[in-house]
Amino acid sequence: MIAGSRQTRAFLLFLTPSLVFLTVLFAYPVGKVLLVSVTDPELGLQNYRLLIENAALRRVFLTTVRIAGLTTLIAVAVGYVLAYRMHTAGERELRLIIFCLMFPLWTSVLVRAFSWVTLLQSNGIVNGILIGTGLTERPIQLVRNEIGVLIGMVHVMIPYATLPIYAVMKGIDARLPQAARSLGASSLQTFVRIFFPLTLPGIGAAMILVFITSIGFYVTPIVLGGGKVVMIAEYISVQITETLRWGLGAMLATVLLAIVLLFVFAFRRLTVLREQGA
Amino acid sequence: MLEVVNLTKRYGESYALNDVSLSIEQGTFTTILGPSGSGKSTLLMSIAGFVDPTAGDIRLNGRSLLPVPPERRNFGIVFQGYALFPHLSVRDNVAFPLRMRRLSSAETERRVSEALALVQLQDYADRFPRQLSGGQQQRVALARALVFKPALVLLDEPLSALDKGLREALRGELRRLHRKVGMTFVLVTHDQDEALELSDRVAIINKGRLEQCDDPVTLYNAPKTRFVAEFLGKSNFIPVRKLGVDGAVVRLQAGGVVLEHEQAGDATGAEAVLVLRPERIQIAPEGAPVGPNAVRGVVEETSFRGAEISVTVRTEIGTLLARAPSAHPFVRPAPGDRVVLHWMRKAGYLLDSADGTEAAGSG
Amino acid sequence: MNRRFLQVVILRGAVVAALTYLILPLLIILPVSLTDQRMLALPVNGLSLQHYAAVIQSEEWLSSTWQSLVIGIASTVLAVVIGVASAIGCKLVDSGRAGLVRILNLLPIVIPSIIYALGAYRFYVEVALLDTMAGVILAHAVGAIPFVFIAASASLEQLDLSLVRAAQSLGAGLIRTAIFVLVPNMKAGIVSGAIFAFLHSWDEIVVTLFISSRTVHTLPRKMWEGLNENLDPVIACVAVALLLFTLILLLIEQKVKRMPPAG
Repeated sequence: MIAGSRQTRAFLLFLTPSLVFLTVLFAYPVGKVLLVSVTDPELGLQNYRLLIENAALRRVFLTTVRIAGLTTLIAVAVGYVLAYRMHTAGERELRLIIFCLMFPLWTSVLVRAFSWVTLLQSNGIVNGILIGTGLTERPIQLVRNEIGVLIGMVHVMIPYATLPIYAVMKGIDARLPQAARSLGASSLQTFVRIFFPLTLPGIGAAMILVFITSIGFYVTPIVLGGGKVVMIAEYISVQITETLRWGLGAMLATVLLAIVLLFVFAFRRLTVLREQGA
Repeated sequence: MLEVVNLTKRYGESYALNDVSLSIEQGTFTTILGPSGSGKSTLLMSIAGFVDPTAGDIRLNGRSLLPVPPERRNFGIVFQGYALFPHLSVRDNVAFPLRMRRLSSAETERRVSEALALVQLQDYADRFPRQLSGGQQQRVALARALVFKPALVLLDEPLSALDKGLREALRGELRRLHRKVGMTFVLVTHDQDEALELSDRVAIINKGRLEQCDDPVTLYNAPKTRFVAEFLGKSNFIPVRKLGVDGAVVRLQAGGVVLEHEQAGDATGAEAVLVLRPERIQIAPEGAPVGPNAVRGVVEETSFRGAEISVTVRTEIGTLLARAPSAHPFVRPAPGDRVVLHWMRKAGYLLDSADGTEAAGSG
Repeated sequence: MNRRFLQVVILRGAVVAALTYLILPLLIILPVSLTDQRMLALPVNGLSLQHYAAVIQSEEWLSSTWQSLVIGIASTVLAVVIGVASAIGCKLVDSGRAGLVRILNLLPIVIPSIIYALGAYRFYVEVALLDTMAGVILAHAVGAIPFVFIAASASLEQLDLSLVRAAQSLGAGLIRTAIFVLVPNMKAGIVSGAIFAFLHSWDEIVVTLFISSRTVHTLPRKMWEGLNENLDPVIACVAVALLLFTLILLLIEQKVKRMPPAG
């Protein structure tokens, strides 16, 4: 920090640009969406009442939570294994794993969804191999259903799951597992009683990050779900672009935002409490 | 009894341990002392089972420990930085080794409160490690290492993270604890005072080699190598040539002066180094009546160190460091004063020239 | 001993399977783009560059590429200037006052893009930015700011604030302190942030779908339309191009990260 008299000047100089830019171009537009949810087509909470009354809406929510939940469980489980390997691997293997995480992470989700379609469609490569080797006679349906969406979304989410867990593992004092061993714990007991509990904050962070990202997914479910698996983001865009029901779309966006922010807030509270040691 | 036999640990071309042999008697307090990077921690971690030695053996009561994994060695370890489990309370930390051994819950509870009472932390059982001070954490680590009545307690620089006052207080506590539980303690440290004050025996390690293992008094008064002499406090090293032996007395030539020296054990080669602790040298005004081993000189520098004054004197046989009590009624040396330094025949210790020079290079 | 061995084999097997799963879909596009077939499939009778030729000869694809590059570069410059300034500001100003700005700088990656897409669409109708290059550039910059902010803040984290006090004691004002003392020490973070910002724009599709239509058609947008109309191997060629671009930028980013700060 710098002296008090300079604080205001520094704020004006360095923070005003982003404050103005993001307020006008981001906060204001997003705020307007939230507002529309209670003003369109007329002032009131009628849009929110649909949440309770409308069965189709409930189904979309259920699908979204189910897919996001499954994605979270699978991605975090795979991420844990990868993070554990990174934690124990040598320099070369570590670099390889990091590359295998970073390259997909920064590749367009559109490209990846396209690629999965190529692999998974009924006349695609995977089915070609399955039929060619005689494992199955007719092609297995791998896209335009929840399996396809899960395959695509887990793929996107694994890097997000792995990195926070790895960061926590890296921070664990290497002497703690040694201490457990010296006190009579086998390597399995050391993992179960010492290492695993110490990685729980990483697992929590990974789960929240993956869940709040998955719940708003747009491209992957559209391309791999092929209209059969409708998640909330796609449903919102249909309300806006096709049926022009802005109030409904805005209401769903608001609920989505509320869920995301709730998780973020809960997570922050959790970490703050841990740090205070209550 | 724990025996370390010709233990060697090599990392590529460099030796962390080079042919170290050591035996530790049941119930004693042994300290492994050495500067950082000397290999002392490697030795401790080898005993604990976390480092596989390249060659040699470690035996407990005659049986090799090498095939035994760390969790079956039954050694209590106090790690540097304590390694308390942050997600477990003090009680659960101390109970951990007992649970691993599947003791009944009543027995576990009894032993945990016993161990906590031993380190005076009964009232802190439900706290978590981060809620304790450094000294308290250190005592939890001790309780955890003692509670399962291990065959051996290994302490890796247990006091180094604490500040000076606390360190000295805990030293006393550690010694009392050792007497009370009667277990075998092995301490690793780089702190000479800690080693001398606590131990029955001290093993000095330098560059992966064992320099000397003896009780503290012998180590201090009869160092076998120049490294040991230098590492345990200050010494004067006077190169001498042996003139002859006259009964128990050896006559030595140093510069133009003939010195007399008496030492138990075998005399060394013709060329030798006389090790002389500064506090064994007396300072007298020039012309005062003195016995044998008197050299004249001029005071170069004095420095006041509280209870004593250390005095650097340029003499006819080289520059010598002496220490005098600062409360001495007559001797108040000042730079430029002409003085006589003298010492008794048994004050010094004669080292083989080879031992002296070999270690001298290491600084 | 046997159980231990089994544990290791299972762990290794799981890791290999996971890494294959991660990388395979990226690798598979290359042979598909070189197919001699008229549909999305692996090459049958040999490799062919016909689909690449089709992309290069296509006026539309080329203009999409050009637009994507312009939008990417412009939005990156905007995001870097704003994001780096905020990172510096958050380091200098006490956390109480800077807290709100810090949160604002992170929100665009926390909030689902579909929500921002709706907002941007409505807002652009109001201010007549719909389907303009400027509009897309601004929207991409918004989404890229968090990446720059995070990377720049990370490179400032290790920096000792006494450096700032030293610069001020030697007579530098705030701006000169930032330019001559802070920015040179943030080089790696700024380059990383810029690369991530560019990649964000290069790949962005959700917001772009809502705020562009005929005038502006970025590469992802063109690909999206192709995906919905006909699954043509030409798309695989474009995907390979996007992928290669990502790979090159990522390799540069890794290189920069390993360089010592302020060389």
